[in-house]
Amino acid sequence: MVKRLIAVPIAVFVVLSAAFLLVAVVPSNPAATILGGLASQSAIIAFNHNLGLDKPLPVRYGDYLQGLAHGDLGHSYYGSDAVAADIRTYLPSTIELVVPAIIVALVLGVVLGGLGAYYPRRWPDWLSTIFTTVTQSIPDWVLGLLLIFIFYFILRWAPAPIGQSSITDAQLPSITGALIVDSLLAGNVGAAASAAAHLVLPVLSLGIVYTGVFSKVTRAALGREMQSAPIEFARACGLPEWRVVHYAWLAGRAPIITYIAIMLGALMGGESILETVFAWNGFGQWGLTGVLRLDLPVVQGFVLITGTFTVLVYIVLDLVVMLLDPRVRQ
Amino acid sequence: MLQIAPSCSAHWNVGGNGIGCRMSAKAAIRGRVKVKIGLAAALSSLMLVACAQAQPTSNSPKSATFVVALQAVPVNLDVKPFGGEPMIDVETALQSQLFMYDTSGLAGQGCSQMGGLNNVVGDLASSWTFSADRKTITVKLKNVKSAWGHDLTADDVVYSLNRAFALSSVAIGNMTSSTHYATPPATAVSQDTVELHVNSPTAVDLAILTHFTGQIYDSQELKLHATSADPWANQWLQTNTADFGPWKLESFQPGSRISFVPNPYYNGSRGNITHLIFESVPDSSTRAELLQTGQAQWAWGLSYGDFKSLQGKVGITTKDCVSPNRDDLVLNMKDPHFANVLVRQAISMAINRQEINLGAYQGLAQPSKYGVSAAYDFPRPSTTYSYDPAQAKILLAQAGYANGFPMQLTYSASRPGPQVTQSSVLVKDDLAQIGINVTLVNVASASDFNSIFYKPSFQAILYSEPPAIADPYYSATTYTISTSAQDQYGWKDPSFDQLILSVGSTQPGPQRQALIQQLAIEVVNLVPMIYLEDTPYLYAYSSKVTGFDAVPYGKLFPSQLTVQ
Repeated sequence: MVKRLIAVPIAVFVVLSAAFLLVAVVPSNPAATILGGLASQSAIIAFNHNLGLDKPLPVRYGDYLQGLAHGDLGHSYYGSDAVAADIRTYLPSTIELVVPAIIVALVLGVVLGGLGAYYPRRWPDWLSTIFTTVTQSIPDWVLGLLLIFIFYFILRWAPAPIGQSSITDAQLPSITGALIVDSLLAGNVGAAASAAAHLVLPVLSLGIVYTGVFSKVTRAALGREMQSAPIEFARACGLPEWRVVHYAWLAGRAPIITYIAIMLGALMGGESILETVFAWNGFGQWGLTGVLRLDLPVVQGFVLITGTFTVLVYIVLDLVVMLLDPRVRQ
Repeated sequence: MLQIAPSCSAHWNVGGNGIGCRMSAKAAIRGRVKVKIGLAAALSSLMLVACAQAQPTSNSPKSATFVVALQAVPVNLDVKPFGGEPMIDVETALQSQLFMYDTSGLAGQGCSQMGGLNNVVGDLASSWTFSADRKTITVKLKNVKSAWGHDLTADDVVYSLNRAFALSSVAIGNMTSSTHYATPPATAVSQDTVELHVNSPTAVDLAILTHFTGQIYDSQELKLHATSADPWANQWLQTNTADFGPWKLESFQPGSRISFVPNPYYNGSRGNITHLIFESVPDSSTRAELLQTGQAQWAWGLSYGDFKSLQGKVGITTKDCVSPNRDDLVLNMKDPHFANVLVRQAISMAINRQEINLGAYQGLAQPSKYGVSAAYDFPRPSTTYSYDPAQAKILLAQAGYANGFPMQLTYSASRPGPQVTQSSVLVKDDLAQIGINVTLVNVASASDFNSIFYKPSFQAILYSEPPAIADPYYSATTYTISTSAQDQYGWKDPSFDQLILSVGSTQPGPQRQALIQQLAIEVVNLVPMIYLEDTPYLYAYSSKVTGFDAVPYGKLFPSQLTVQ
């Protein structure tokens, strides 16, 4: 574990450098887009000079590291806010979306996978397998569009997919950046309820699709344990069935926890298309817009945060698994 | 103020909602007052008739919320950095230019008949005169106030145009390439009179100032927020507004939502919209759904498929209106194949534009027929684009490519739109018939696509021509004149350039129309680029919305609308 912790700063440094280099070596230049189609060559040259884009790569890399050391991630080419401020604005919105989605996926997936593991090769198992196959075949944003069509357009059960709040909702002061939390802190239960209502469809879109992942992992891990000798012995000893399943769960939970971490790392920025579909205005959509517009500071900030987040999540995962499984400690 | 005879005032009844005057007809009204009442009634009637289009009817609610669902909301509200189409959509709606188009008298209120230079009227300008050499335009300003309560003065115009020159490369391009505004472009003559100066006059000198880059700002307010590091208050204006239009900024969530309320000092005509909201809804089908559910009253930027699905729907008005926009195929003439005019003519002749219209545009576009958009008013020449693959093969053989050659065709859904994914395949198939083996290259990122276009690092590219000012001269100076920033693909022809400049320097009339006709012929013969489709403006909005006039640059003025 100590070696893992020592490797963290090295890993983060690699992420920082990758965030810069991968973007800096892209041959395209955003000047024409930023300045508009009528910009003269001299205006483009001046633009590149003002932003330091005409400096040699090692010099730009040094400037980048120096800025990072002072917490300065630069400014977007398209707005006045600092990239660091944008991250503080958009990241909580994505966390507010991703965490409930993973909880939904985890609960549904464990239940379905558990049923499949407990009733192998019987109808619950076949049902679970079919559901898993179908949901894993659908991209999350496609499911999102389908849910919007059914629950908003046809049934009018869901609110309009125009972001985290309705058009008529009052704009509340941003404290945490997560709208539900901020609404509750402001004592505005109505706004919190509206925010929660807007959260339902995107959370379901992500949650249902990734249910398949947890279902498969649970089916495999729990199924293996349920067939294992210790469980057979536990049954032979006459233990209650719930305790037998509990023991199987304790033995097989590590891969499930691992996948929670993998999903967290993947979805933090990986659900950008879904955020675009729901006009969520979160971290993923912000990053995707930066990529498409070649807003280099934004892209660098996006890669930096997602990479660092993933590294940290894996470290926490290692710690948790080590705590839960004495075999790993040894 | 109506003067009432003294004997009437004794009988006034002050009610909760107003004042009524109970009097006997015989005793109270004297002859002088009768005349004044009559005059007042006549004037009121005239005003009501004049404002009928904009003013709410008796059946309209007194206030209405108007939600515009558009693909993206700008992340900043100033011209620098340039925010692209989202910025143009919002800034134009603020309606704070010297001039605007009035298309109310045209067929379909500008929908079937596109407005032209003769339809330019004053917005903040109340009147104007040209000097004998047309190098000076003396503009008298209207008596209006900004949302901050400051009067519009000549100093505001001078400041705003200088500011545009300092901050906006788009403004510089507009005002020095297509037009030839001097530096400085304006000087104040008096409190309410300003002179605009051009080095050499063109036909679009006024029209260019209908563009949002010619926006007139409240300089008094901006100067309060200027600093030594930011003398033009660029930082402040990125999240605020200070103009003389009908709207006042209420709230701004960058990239997400902008809302406006009426400028309390605005004295122009307006409808009943009291809450204007621009909402970012990136997905086209979702925008269409919002319109159908009534959550939005206007849906911008719909795809052809989504627009088609809304046609005939109850409660939705759809209009496909004439526009100067065209989708085209640009050939890089630095490539030896395309330096040969016969090859360019062959490619143009091999493309079935009608098939592309039906396939990629759902039949909503018009196959390009002339070298200049058919939306313009000019005598139609007999020289037109034609579809003749057999002749195309002959031309290709004459050029020395009887067996064809390989060609890379670059395209991006970012410009002109998602329809290009279909039109690219159709073009590929058409060119295969004459032996040109096309490889399609898709570029997802708009920035990458722009870079490829301007380098240029393409062999052939599907592009679009959406001129900010609906005039063939403006189009040509933006896209096909050799001095244009957009002409990086090797097209150079001095006599063609001279023809374009002649169109520009000639004022509207028969002579100019003849020059435009000549330009149309030359474009077909010389093929500076290959126009494929004349594309329409697609408008989809709630049937409860009235008062919409289609302007030549396809934008929306919500202040003129009434929601029933």
